[in-house]
Amino acid sequence: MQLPRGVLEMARRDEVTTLNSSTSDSSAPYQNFSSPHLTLRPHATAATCNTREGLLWNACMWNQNIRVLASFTQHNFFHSVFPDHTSIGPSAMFTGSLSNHFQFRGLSDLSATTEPPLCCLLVAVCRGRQRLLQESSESDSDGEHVIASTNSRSVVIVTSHTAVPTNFHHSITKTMKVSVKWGKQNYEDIEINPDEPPSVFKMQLYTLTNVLPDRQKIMVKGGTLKDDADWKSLGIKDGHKFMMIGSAESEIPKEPEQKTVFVEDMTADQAQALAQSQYPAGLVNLGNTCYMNSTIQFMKAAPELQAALKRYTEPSIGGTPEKQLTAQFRDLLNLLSNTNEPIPPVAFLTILRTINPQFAEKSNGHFMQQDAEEFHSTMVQSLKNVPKLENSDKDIYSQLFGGQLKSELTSADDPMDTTTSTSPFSKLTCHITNTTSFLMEGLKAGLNESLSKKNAAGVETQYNKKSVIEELPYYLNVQFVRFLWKPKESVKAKIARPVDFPLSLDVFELCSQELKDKIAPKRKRIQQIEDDITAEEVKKRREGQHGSKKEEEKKPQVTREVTLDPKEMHNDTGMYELCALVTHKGRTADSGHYVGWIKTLEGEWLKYDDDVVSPVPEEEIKKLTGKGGSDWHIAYLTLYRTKHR
Amino acid sequence: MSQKDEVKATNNEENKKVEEKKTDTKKKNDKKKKEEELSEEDKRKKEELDLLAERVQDADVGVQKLALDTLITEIKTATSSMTSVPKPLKFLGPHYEKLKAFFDSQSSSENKTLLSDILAVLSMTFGKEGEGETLKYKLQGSMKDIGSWGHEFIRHLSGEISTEWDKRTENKTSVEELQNLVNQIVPFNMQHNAEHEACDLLLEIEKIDQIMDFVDDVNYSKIGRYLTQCASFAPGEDEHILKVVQDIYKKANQPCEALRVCSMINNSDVKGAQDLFTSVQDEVTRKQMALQLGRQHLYFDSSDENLNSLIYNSKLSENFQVLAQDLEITEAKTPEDIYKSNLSDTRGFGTNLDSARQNLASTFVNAFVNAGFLKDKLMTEDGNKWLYKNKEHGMMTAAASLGMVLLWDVDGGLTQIDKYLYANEPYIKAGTLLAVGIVNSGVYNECDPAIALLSEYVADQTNNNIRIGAILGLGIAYTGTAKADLSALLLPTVDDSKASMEVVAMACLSLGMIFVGTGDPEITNSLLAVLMERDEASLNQTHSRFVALALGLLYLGRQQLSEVTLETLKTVTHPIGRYASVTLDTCAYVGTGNVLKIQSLLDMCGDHLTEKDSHQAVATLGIALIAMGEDIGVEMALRSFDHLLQYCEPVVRRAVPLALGLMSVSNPRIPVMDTLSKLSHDSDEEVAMGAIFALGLIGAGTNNSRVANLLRSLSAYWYKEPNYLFLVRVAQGMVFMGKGTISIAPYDSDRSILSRTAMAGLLTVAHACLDFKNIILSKNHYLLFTLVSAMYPRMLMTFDENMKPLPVPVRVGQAVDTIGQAGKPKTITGFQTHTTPVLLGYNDRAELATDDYLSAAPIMEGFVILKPNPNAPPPTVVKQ
Repeated sequence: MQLPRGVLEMARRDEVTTLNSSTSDSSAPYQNFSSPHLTLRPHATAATCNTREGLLWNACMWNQNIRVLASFTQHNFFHSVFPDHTSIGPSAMFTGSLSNHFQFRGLSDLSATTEPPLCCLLVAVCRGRQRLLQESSESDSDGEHVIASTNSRSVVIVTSHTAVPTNFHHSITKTMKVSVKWGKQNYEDIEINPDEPPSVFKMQLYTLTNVLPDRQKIMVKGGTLKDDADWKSLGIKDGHKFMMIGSAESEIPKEPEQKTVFVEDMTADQAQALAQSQYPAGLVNLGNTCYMNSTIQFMKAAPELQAALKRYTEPSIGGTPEKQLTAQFRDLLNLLSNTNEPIPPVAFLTILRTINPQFAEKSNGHFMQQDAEEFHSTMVQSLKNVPKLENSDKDIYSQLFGGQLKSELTSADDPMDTTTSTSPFSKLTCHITNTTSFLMEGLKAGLNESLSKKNAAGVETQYNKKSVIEELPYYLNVQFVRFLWKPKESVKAKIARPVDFPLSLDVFELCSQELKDKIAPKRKRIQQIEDDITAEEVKKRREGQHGSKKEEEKKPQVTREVTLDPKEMHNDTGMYELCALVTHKGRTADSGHYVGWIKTLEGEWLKYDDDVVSPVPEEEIKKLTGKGGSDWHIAYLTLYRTKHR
Repeated sequence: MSQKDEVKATNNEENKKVEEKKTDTKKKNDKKKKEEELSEEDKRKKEELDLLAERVQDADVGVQKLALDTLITEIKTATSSMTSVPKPLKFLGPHYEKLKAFFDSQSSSENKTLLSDILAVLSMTFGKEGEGETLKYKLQGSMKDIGSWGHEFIRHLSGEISTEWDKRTENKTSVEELQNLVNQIVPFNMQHNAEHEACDLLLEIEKIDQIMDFVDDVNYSKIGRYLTQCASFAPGEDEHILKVVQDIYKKANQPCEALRVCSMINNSDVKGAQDLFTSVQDEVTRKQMALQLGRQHLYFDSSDENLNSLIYNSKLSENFQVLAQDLEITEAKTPEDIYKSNLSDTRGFGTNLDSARQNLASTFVNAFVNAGFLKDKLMTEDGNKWLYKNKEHGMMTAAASLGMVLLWDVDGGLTQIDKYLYANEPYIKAGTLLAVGIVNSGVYNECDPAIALLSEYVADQTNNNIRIGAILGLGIAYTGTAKADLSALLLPTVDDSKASMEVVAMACLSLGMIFVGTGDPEITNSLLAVLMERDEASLNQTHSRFVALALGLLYLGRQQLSEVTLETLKTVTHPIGRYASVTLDTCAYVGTGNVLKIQSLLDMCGDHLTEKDSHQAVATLGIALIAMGEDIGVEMALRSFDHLLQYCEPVVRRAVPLALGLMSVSNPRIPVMDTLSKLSHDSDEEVAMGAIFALGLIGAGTNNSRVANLLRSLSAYWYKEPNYLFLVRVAQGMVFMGKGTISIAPYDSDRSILSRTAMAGLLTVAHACLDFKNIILSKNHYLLFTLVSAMYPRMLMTFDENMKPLPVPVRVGQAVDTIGQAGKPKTITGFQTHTTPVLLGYNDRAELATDDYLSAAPIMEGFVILKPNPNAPPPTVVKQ
């Protein structure tokens, strides 16, 4: 913060600080020195420093009273009338808070005995330095001029008594004190000199409110105060209350760059296209192919899979049908990512039906509804064609979805007859019995089966197979065993029992002891962090800061980077989050409707109902447990992805 | 008693003879009628009386006198229950005709006078209906001490006096002797807890002024309230009666009550209100009156800054924030919070696209719901973004909605609005001008910021919308102020023959709103000139209806005052003339319950016309307007509307839902709701739209869950129809107006004062809704913001004498009509005790639940000042 350069200039040059009002010579730089105000136009030097930092001082003096109008231009105008001219007597010091930049202190050292008084002293002090003026002035007996400035931060202007206009007294007595209300603030005792134009008043207000003079609207009778209005004709009296409107913001509302396009201005097709464009593309139902459509979207929920598929370079035409299917799948996924228009997967379907005629089964001339799980298995099979990743010995599907189970096979008759084996797995199954209500129960049931096989002695024996997870998959597939082949009716019946599944799954319980030991430290750390966060929130809430909830919302979703580094593709916490579902609605596997539900990387849930893609709130996902009976969507295949912190 | 014995003894012989005769006849009677046996006591009494009746006809004057005196004593001392005739009267019955004959044969004497008194009493039971015998004999009787004959006699006599009075005034004969009686009856009634009967009698003989002599500090409230109630049943007389009531309150030193009545008589009577105000010295009373004046928008300079701030409603915004904080509803609501569209299963296609129509709906919902809370999520946070989510006129409305959010906060609000005045987009500028007006609605600021800011745009030639924004903004800001500057400012536009009809109509409407209920002749003439001189093409425009409405508003509630204008309107040949006539007539009688007017309107609705017949729609609205004042009238009108729906032309049917809405604004009563719910699925587009909007009207500011559910299901039902959906959304916004704190009911002060400003806003919207397609659903949707003049928090806030909020316990319950009932019955039922500030429902009434304070206001509603009760019981110290 600096003083206007002009001021400094003046303070340094003797010839500027000493002004003789009697100089009426037109050649003098002070030719505008006129009555009733002694107007000093900016000194040439000051003006040349920077035109925007010109300086305007009005100094008037009469008898022992001093009236000072000081207007600076420093970036903009500020202006002030020292409020009470009559109080300025010898050695009086008056203070006016003029702007947030400057403080003025006027010090008049007028010898009361000298008639008429000789000088006035005006000093500007940089408030930033808090250096108050310690200034004295000397009066010259001849009344011609005087004054000295003591330091470079003060400026002194002196005028001699000869400049006093005779009618000045008159004009002073007529000043009025008014108050101005601006918003909720009230400014009392602002002085108006009726001889001055309202623009002066506006500048006074500017110093107080920071509202630019041309943005100020001051209410007077019948309109707003104009810059050139005549105070007298407005009938303003002492004590008048003005109301001012105007905001200190100088920005003018502008049209946003991107224009809003309204549905009303579009054709129906355009509107539909645009409505769709906000979401990924859906797949057109080609006759009971929703099992396929939903499962494709379900598989697409693992972006790594799609990335890996790109490494598969076989052409989609030619080659064995199996290879073609993989290629078609690759192309279809690419297509889905590149457009927002619904895609009819005709080529894909054709090749699928060639390989697996089961999917071409017809009844009454229509293609039949198929089991999504079977389609899923078919696709998993076809992914074996994809080349393995570097530094990896597993095929791409196992890499992403596969884990290792350790199974203990114990004979029911002879506990000593126990064999341990490990086997890879790419999905967990949730067995639904009459008592199953939670996913975890079903999973445990799925890992404990009983089977009968010949024992070492070659006798058919009942064995209990107990499995635990030895290695966690990156993506965890969980299948709800909802369909049951009823041989009598020769129909795949559906188990509609509601089974609650969590949005965040922790499979710690299902892990082997070794694995548990391995992942425990990291889990503990994470737990610690979470505890800290909750504790902080609780603390915040106690302190009455309701903002915590908002903050949570605003917390940017962790966007995951899709990498194909096998080192990254593991899970070392046992914690997963739900990211995709295929649901089935209807009574049997061969009828009804499949829908896919995918959580985007941004954390938003989308519903893929064939070609219609729409957002759904998370609450809707929680309703897919089967509580609505078989007439509502029930989760069938679910995909959990590794939870990243 | 000794006297009686003597009489008995002396006339023993004759007595016997008579008795023999009597027994003869009695035997006959017994045979014929099998009359029930008289008890011994009764028998003796009967004998006694029979004898006396004979004696009365005795030739000897002395005997006569004695008999008469005895009879009089008998009659006067007789006791009876409500259902049975007193014994003496019963037994004297058979002698009635004989005594009458004897009376006629007598020349006047003291005894004749006495007999006349007796006959008067007897005629009460035995005289023929309608003959007025009681009065006839009473007039020939003593004329003294009539109270001694009992209440029943007085009541009977009063009835005959009023009949006779009518006859005599018709024949122009003297009523002096009747007046004499009245002069005795009235004080008697007054002394015996029968103030209502005194009022009835005086009302019947049209001398209600005389009641003034009998009013005292105790009975004034009973009389005042009774007469106020009577006024609504006396078409033509109502104003006079209310003036008497006003005098009564003045006499009883109840200036607050007097002020209420003053507002009832003429809601735009600033002069009368000012006189009342200046006559009061007590500081607290003055403050309370200032608050009442503010509520009625009767602004004048009281030359006291503090009082002025109350009269000008300067603190309304501030106090509303206090209310909001107390109710913990300061958090801004988004339109989605209101729609709750996740509850209805219509999500899916296209919901995330910007639809100009639906964004406009959201603008309205946001404006209504966050009205007066000074913050919202659309306009105050990043207004510019939302503005450009709207299209053309939608932008104008969006800019105007900022005024709604900042409602009543003139000081702080204008600063926020101001920056949009610098926008380049003319629609935004126009809307901002409107916003300036809306912020000023219902509050008055001495600096007149609205005039200062808007006046320069009134004659803007560059853009019609800017012009309309300024004009309508002024209308909304100064509704009901009758500010003379404004007629000078706006009349040139009305007379501007080059201006488009839309602009002219808006100027007329603004004038109508500003000068509502004043009947200003200069403006009347200008408006008439528009209707007469404009060419047919412009009169054919739908906006011309607002010129007609403006005329109606000018004479709102002024009854006969409108007649000259009504005559003049007959010369307008264009159909709009008819429209204007009906509008004017119905507006003039708004809330009077005038049955004759309703009948003629029903008649008008029944016509099956083929030509342009939009006046029938106004007539339908008119029925609601006139009936709305009074409960029975409303019930009757509800039935009539059923008939109109079934038998009338489409134009009438289309207005019925709106009429139903107008009749129970902010009062969601079930029958109306049911009818509207049914109509909202009507096959006629306009009927359905009207019904949807009317659902918003009846639920406005109530948070009524039933209406909200209806509308939510309607939003699902109509989700493919943008126009319907728009109206459903707007209606939803209205139901949650001010988050359920702001009502738009035109009646306040215990549903007794019809606010002219509120009515102006409601009528504007109602008329705009008569042509949904071309007004609300087209470009002039911003007219919905005129509702702002009816918006007021439905609250009770209590203050101490220094206007600091003072929470006290109050009982809030269903209001009970106790007028005209004896004793001090409970005025509310099913109440709950709350601590102020509280919200009051449409039919709710509140009373203080503490003895520590006395209310300075007659009605516990709105802002109430409490004074410490000098007679309060000392606070009880609870010992532990």
